[in-house]
Amino acid sequence: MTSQPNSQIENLLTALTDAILAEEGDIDQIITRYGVSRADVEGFVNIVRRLSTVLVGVRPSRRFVHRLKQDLMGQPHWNVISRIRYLPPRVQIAAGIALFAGFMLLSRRRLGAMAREDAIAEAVS
Amino acid sequence: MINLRKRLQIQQRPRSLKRLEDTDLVDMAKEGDKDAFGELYERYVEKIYNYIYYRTGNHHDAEDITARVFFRAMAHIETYTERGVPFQAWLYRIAHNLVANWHRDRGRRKVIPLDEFIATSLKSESPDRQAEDNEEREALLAAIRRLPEERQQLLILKFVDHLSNAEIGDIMNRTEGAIKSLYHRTLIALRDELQLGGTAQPDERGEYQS
Repeated sequence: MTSQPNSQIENLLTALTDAILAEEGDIDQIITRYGVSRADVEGFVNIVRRLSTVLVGVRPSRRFVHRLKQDLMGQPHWNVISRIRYLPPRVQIAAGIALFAGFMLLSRRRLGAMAREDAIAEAVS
Repeated sequence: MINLRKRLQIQQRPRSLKRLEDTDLVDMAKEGDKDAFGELYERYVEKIYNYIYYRTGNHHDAEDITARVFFRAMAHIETYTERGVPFQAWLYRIAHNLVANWHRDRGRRKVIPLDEFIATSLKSESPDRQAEDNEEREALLAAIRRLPEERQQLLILKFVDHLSNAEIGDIMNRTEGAIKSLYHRTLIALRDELQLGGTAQPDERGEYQS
């Protein structure tokens, strides 16, 4: 491989990649424009082509895109439900357990207080 | 008559929002205009989803994290100031941080597991060709997986989201020249790795010693 200034090769690789991704432009013309021989960059051209066939875009489901937009737009900023819905599952479970434990604690206290009141009322009568 | 005019304005609004620049939409969203934020969402949801999908490797987590990116962006848009970081780059940075947290929580190595997608994209080819292509793609994917995280990120932003070097630079907080140089080194590393048949291990800079 003949030695080329790094910046020239870097610019060439960017131009080559853009042309391959856009599926337009003559690769040989681009290489000639940068004064490099095809053999010098053949390996790079092959890799860029292979990358462009392997790393391709995926589409999110329409349902997801639509529902998320509704969630974002339909609520006055984000409320408790949307906050919980998009928390990681582990955090959701922890939040559920904490809520349940809090509820149980309050109920127990309330029941205890009622039992005590009943006992006092009975003792007085 | 006034009601009719108002209704027409509302119906035509999404079309007029499409003509606005991101910076105008951000200003409107900051003042509580939900339609403006909705337009920004439409512009970037697919790119952000793609980025997250390639960093997590499954649709479920990609949906979950994409949702969190946009909820976080909406909650913090009032505090966003451009200062050299365009809105798109700001969104990608939020996505990058959430993906990093996701990897940290799971203690997983940051890889690009594309197998599910490749399996579906090859169905239409003949079995022999399919096997050959699959082998080649697997070798390339394995080489990509062995790259340092920032190089994987660069390849996703360039090939999947089709961003320019300048846009990638904004996201990765580097100059356009630095991105060009990093891309060059990434391609050299991939070429060397593939020539060595995937037996080499990259050093701490991601280079392969031949």
